[in-house]
Amino acid sequence: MLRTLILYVCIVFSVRVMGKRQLGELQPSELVVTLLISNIATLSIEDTDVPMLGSILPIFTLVSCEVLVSYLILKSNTARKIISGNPRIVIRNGSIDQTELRNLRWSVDDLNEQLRAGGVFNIADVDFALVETSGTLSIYQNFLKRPVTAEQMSVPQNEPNAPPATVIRDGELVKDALSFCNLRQEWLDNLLREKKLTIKDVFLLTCDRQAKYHLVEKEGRKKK
Amino acid sequence: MRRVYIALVLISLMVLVSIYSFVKVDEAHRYMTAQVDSIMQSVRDENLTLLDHQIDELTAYWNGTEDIIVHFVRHVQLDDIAKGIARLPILAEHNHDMLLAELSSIRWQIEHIWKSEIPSANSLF
Repeated sequence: MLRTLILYVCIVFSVRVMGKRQLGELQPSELVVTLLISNIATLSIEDTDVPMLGSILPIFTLVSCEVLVSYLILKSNTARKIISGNPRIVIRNGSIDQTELRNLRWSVDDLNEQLRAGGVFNIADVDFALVETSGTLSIYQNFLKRPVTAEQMSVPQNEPNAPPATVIRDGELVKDALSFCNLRQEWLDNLLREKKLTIKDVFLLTCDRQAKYHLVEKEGRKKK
Repeated sequence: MRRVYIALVLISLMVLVSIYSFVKVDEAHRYMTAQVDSIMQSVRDENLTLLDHQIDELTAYWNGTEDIIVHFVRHVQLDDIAKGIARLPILAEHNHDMLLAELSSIRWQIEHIWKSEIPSANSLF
């Protein structure tokens, strides 16, 4: 059990060192590292005859290599092309590039599935589609099918462009949230007084920079 | 950039640990091989007083070394050597042919561990 805990800490540390890129879409080298780490970690957990260092050293080696390769990819276009490959255009000017699809070993069904996942159900609506190096499909719809933007509609921006922030989460005040919303502590105190609540009684309070708020009380608490 | 520095520190630490393990296994390999050879010679010379003393030395050395190299080498391989060494005092008293066989086995096993530690075509592939 202790070995498992130690390896758990090592793997969490490793994933943190690899960074948030790792937690999202995997590049080929990242996928390889992730698969290898999971396999290597189980060696020491399952077999107590294998020394802990026999798992920890390979894991840290892989993670270090991955970080250095990521850095190399960041700095060198050639390295990026070799290690991650290039995005491939599979729909160009509205027509499917069948050769490219064959090269990618994608069937028309695969393409349709990815288009549907991207919210496009008619292939004729697509001007360009690219298969990214991570394997996801990026879609550029033709002009008439693209969602209308506020700019195209000439709709003026009347409110500040900032999302609502969580001010109270499960009975605890979130640090810096009030200053993000340009609000003071007095505003929150007044709001809670008006609702006859304390911070502990609030399950969720979100608020934007116009002081528009959404308050959810905790269940099973009586108002004071 | 911070992650790159962490990766470089990790690589440096791993290189240090690898060098340390290599040195320790090398030390054990050299000492054990020489000691086993001299014990075998004592058996052939029928020098029983020296034989007992050499086996005691080998046992004491192994007990100290095993605690260190157990962190780098598979336990099964070390257990086999430890079992062999534990049998040596009894075999030295009663059966010298078996003693020589056991010593050869220990020598082969320590040689095998050493060879698998050296980066070579055989140990890599």
